[in-house]
Amino acid sequence: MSIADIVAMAIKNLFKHKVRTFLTVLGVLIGTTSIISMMSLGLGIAKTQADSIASMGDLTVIRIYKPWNGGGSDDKSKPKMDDAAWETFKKYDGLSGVTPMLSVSLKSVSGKFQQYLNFYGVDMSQMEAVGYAPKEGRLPNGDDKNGVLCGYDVAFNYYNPSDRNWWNNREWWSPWSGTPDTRTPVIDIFNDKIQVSVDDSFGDKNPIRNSSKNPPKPITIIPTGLLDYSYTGDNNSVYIDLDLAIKLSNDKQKWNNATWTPSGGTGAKRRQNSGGYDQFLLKFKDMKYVIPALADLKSQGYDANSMAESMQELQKQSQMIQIILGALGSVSLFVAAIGISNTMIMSVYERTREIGIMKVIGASISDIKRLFLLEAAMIGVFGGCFGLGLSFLAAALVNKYGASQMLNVIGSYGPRSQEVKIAIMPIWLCVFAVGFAAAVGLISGYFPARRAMKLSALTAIKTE
Amino acid sequence: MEPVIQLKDVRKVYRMGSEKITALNGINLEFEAEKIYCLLGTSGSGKSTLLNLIAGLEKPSAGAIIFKNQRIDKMDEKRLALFRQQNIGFVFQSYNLLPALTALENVTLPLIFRQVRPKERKRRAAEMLAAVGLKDRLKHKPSQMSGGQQQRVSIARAFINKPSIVFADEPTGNLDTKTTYEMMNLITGMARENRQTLIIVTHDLEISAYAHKIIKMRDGCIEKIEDNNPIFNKEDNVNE
Repeated sequence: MSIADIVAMAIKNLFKHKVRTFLTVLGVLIGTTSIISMMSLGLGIAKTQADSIASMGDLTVIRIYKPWNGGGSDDKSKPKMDDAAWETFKKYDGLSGVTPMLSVSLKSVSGKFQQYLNFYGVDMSQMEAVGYAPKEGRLPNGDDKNGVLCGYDVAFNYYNPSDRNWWNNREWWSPWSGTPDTRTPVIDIFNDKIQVSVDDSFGDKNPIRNSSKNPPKPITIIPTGLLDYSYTGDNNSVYIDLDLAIKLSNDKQKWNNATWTPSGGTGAKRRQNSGGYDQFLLKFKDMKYVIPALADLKSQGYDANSMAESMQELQKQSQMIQIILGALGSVSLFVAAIGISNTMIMSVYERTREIGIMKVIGASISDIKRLFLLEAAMIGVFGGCFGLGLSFLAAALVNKYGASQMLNVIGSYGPRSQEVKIAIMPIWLCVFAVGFAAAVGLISGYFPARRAMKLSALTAIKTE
Repeated sequence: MEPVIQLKDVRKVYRMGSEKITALNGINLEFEAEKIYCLLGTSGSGKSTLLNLIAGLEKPSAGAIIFKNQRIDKMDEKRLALFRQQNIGFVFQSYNLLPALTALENVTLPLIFRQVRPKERKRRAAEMLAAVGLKDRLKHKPSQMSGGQQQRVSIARAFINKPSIVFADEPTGNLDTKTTYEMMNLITGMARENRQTLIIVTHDLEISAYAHKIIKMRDGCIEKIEDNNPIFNKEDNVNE
């Protein structure tokens, strides 16, 4: 028999018993719907959690922090965060960029406004590679004298110290609220002159200094770019060239030592810059490179962190959820499979005579087998397709009405501004579901088909 | 003439619980091409068993069945299906049409199994049904036809592949006398026309008149083989 003939005959046979076929298909439909819904729910939960993690930080980034030694002397057992370490970090597989970060807190003044700002000395040539992309302007390059990259909040946090109500009149905004930022910047970072100094009393009307020395000259910084809001980073910080940061850091150290009187007795001494960096920022091309690098760093004793770690943990968790949900869903499909088997066995019994006649007039046993297998597979495919349709409907309903409650249940965190989808139906899930239903049909139809195939033509014909 | 089918010392023993029933006991037979045979015997004489063996529906307990140098008794299910497809046509007492299919579809079935193209097989089936006198019954289902008409469909189905052997197992058992003659005239006429071997199994002496050779069976053995001068178009004069 040709394939077309077998298909035509199978369809005819299924239509001959409309009610029975319908009920069996209904069983598969329910089974498929339950398995797809459960899996799409599992995927949705996984995606939501992953998104909330991802929104909190770049998953391909490792941050290495200087070990906190409680203000005491440097812990010798901890590895150094110096240039030698920098060189070794550069050798990691899949690294797209690495920069040390040296932080120095400096007073900054623009007109009558001032604030303390965190300056991070970074390798500017690596900024793009480690994932800093200004939302306005551009990254500073070697030609910019004192060119800097400003954090999102910098322009908003300047205040006038002589304005007594500045704190009360301050405008507030949080990205977590999901509303757009309507604050007006206090200064225009691209046009206003911004000066910074290592001297804490810089810009004050009546500077109080317990030193007769004159502080170093303030320098003027030129912002070339403004960063977007970062959920993980310091938004009130300014990124400057590493060499400038080292110079400023040293200047500040000198100035502090010159002006500061030990209060803890003669033994206490201000922390010396040991020549190390405060942080390293490593960015990788893919998350898969992050995990081994992180493990290696930790084994060396570095205080290394990455969102990828929590992500990995979370992935394990949501995989577990998906497996449980999938298993729950598959129970009903299993019941449906038994239904198909039952229907097909009934069909073989009923059509014993028909099978015998077909054999006698020349049907080969493989024709008979194929016919029965195809009928079973068709029940599976029909059920699978209708089930898929129903699942889309269910997913749409859940996404429309149940998403936010669901999110609270699973404890997802992160900004709620984007539209949340709790049920996700990727193409592969659709294809998989229909394929799976067809496979279930085939498997359940196999034994009935074998039975039909093995029927003796003679006894079959004699059956009335 | 080289025989189409040869049976050599064929035995068939059925086991019924602990009892053994010998249905065929050492049958030696040869069927020549283009001849009409009649297996005549009472019920239980082993004639139907013999037919089933030759058609490959059952296997002999001992002996050999040879069709054009091929051992039918040694074939597996796959080759048997092919063998039946290509060489054998069947007419049954109970017609054995598929109830869900129309006359045309029933006749088309053997061609479907042989993978004949839809257009071609429809044309041939329609021709065949016209030849058995059912030109205006193509779309009828078996339940909408009389016994005689159903048997005509079954005959059309048996002959459509132009098989070299046609078996007829009590083909007229369910029919009245008039229809019986019509059927027999039709079957034998077609067998002659297509130069086929026809093997009729019956207990009806009158039907044996159509055969070249009448093989009388009793208790699983061949009692007698008679040569006969076959009649062709026997008219039913009982009712006239």
